[in-house]
Amino acid sequence: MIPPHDHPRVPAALLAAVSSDLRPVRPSPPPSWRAIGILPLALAAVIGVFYFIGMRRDTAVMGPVLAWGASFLQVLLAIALVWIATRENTPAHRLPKTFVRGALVAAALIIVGVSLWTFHARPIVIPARFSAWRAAYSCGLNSTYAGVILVVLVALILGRRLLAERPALVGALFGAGAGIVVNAGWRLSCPVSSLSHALGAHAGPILITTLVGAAVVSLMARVAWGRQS
Amino acid sequence: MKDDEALRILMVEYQAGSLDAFQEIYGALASELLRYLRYLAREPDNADDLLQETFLRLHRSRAAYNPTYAVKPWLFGLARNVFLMKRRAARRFTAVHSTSADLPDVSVPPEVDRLGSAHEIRRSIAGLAEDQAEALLLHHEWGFTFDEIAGMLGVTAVAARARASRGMAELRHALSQTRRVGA
Repeated sequence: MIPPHDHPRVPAALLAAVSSDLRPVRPSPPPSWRAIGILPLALAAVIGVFYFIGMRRDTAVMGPVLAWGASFLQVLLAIALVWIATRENTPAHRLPKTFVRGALVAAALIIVGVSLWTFHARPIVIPARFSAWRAAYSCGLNSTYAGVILVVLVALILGRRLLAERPALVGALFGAGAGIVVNAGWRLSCPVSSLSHALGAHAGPILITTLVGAAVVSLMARVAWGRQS
Repeated sequence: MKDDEALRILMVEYQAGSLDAFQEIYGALASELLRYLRYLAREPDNADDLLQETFLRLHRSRAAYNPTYAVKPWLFGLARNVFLMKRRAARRFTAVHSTSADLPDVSVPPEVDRLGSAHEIRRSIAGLAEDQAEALLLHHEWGFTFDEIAGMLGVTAVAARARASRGMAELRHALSQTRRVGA
């Protein structure tokens, strides 16, 4: 151990800044716990979709695996993406880029796979007397609203201490997670399972919330770094 | 240099409000961090500012540290982020890293210290690909494991090892070329 008198001295300005605020702080939980901590919010979002939109009437016909199991899988997938984001936001705990890219590709494949599975099991299309565009607009817009609210909440909860090298990636992962959670609820509310509707109006908003998440967290990082310097 | 267990205890004390603990952490890691930042920034003056910003960032984000993390990699990772955020803000990446005459302010890895003078070795390190040089130095100069380097750079441990290994091979090759030309 180096004797104290050989240590580099803390510069006066830094020492003054540190001394001025030494209130005790509680150590942050590890990334896995922070991600799991979002689970109640994710479940509340799914329940919120049921509350405001209602549930499709054929969930009993769909069976528990396709109805609840697939949506629960999506919620777990969203939590996994949030976990990756919190790792990315923790210095020296980043996951390999290939792993992050692989997780995003896997998430996209799971969403497409669940949509295909649902359509295969319950091929319900929009009746001819209704406008497909209006239905897509309604589902897409409301999914996007819900997703954007959720990603902003997640960013405010988990992005308060931004230490990421790539804040846009952190935000994109938060956004993808939020969009997938909303999709998990929406697919159990909207009875239409045609692929154009499911992928366009239900899964499309996931892309939008991903972009919104990237923008929101980038902005938060810019504000945080601007404030520091 | 304190071992990481002692640093973790200091970080917990610092989180509890101890100024002495902060000063000890600074004393234990500032010199190494400064050399790392000088290597990244290639500008001694800029590195001093970056060091202060890193510790200021540490202070403002001290709650983000979890006692299960090893302190030294966490702080080096934080310093790297500070450097990259500043570089992004300044948009000076090309200007900083295309200057081949700039020499990183690092000591010479013992594995190659017989292959050339300190000046030649530093210049050869400066000529390595950025990713190889960083992995090489993080391992040989600052003693990080490949798992720790992987977490800092966002790559797999295998990739971190491969980068360091390729960097060392390139460095040996560059030094042998230099000696051949000199002879």
